[in-house]
Amino acid sequence: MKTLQFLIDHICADFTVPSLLGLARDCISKGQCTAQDITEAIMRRDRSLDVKCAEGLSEGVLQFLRDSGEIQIRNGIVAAVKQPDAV
Amino acid sequence: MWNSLDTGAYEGMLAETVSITGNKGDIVHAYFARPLGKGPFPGVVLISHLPGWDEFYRELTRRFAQHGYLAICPDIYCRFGHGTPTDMAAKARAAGGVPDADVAGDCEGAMKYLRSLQYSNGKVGLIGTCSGGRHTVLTASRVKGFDAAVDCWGGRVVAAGTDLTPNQPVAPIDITADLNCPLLGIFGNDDQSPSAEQVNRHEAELKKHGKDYEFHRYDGAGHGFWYYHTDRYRPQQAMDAWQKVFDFFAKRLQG
Repeated sequence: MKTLQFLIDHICADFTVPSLLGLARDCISKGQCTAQDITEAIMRRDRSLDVKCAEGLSEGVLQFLRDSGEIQIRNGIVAAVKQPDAV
Repeated sequence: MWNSLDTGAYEGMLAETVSITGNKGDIVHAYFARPLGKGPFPGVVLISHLPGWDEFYRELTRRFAQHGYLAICPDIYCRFGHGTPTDMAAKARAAGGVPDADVAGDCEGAMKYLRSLQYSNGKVGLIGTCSGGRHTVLTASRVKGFDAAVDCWGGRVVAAGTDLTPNQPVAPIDITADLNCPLLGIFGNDDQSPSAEQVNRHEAELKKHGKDYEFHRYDGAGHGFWYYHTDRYRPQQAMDAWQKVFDFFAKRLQG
């Protein structure tokens, strides 16, 4: 799997890994978030990207968040995984 | 050298958009900046990067003029139309990028434009960052006549066959034998496109073909570390790299 840093550097996108993750987390926190929403947010932030480049970044950041256990995707909706309440 | 100007000396610059003859005789825009005076001055052709023919590149062009160069940056996105730099860059990306042949042809046109000027010393260098770095290596291998070339972190100089496209059908590393001028490479060690391993491979190929080159790699810097308008900017590494570029061009293009 290509790293987020590679994806950013390869297309010279105006993101750092933290800023891309932050953008995705912000979208997800608003609820009812889809991959398309994240793609559009990426394109709004870096207007030099076309939709295919933005989709690549969106896919990459969702893969990262899913692999880290931070999110789950059900029926196309991205949601943060709820952390168990502290006892 | 940066900031070594004489505060009592006269200095003047002209900077404007011009039209040049590019690939296949197409008329393309270019941003041209030059020192005022009769010269003669060496020239530099700048190749802009994926984010566009943008304000950063206008400032870069003026920086070279500030340091005594005839500097020209062709609008390699010209054939996609006109609008804001970011909109044009997005349009070019959606079309699969700027064709290599157009970039090389436009740079050749820009080189000829500079040489035609009465105040040119006849020597012309080439520099690009990011995709412009790749285009620099490619153009310096395809077009005869450049006297020096600078590749700043060009990604996809080393590319697998699966990465090639109709608009970018060649990995520049595969035509290293055709590189026909000295090459300076500037890279951040945290960059992943090109990765350190890819830079190693490029360097090995240059050595294998006995090319005149020098590479400089910077710790604590990644892709685009000159970009002062982004989080990527690394001032210490950037200023050192700038000095390397000016020294390289001074040796190859002046006198």
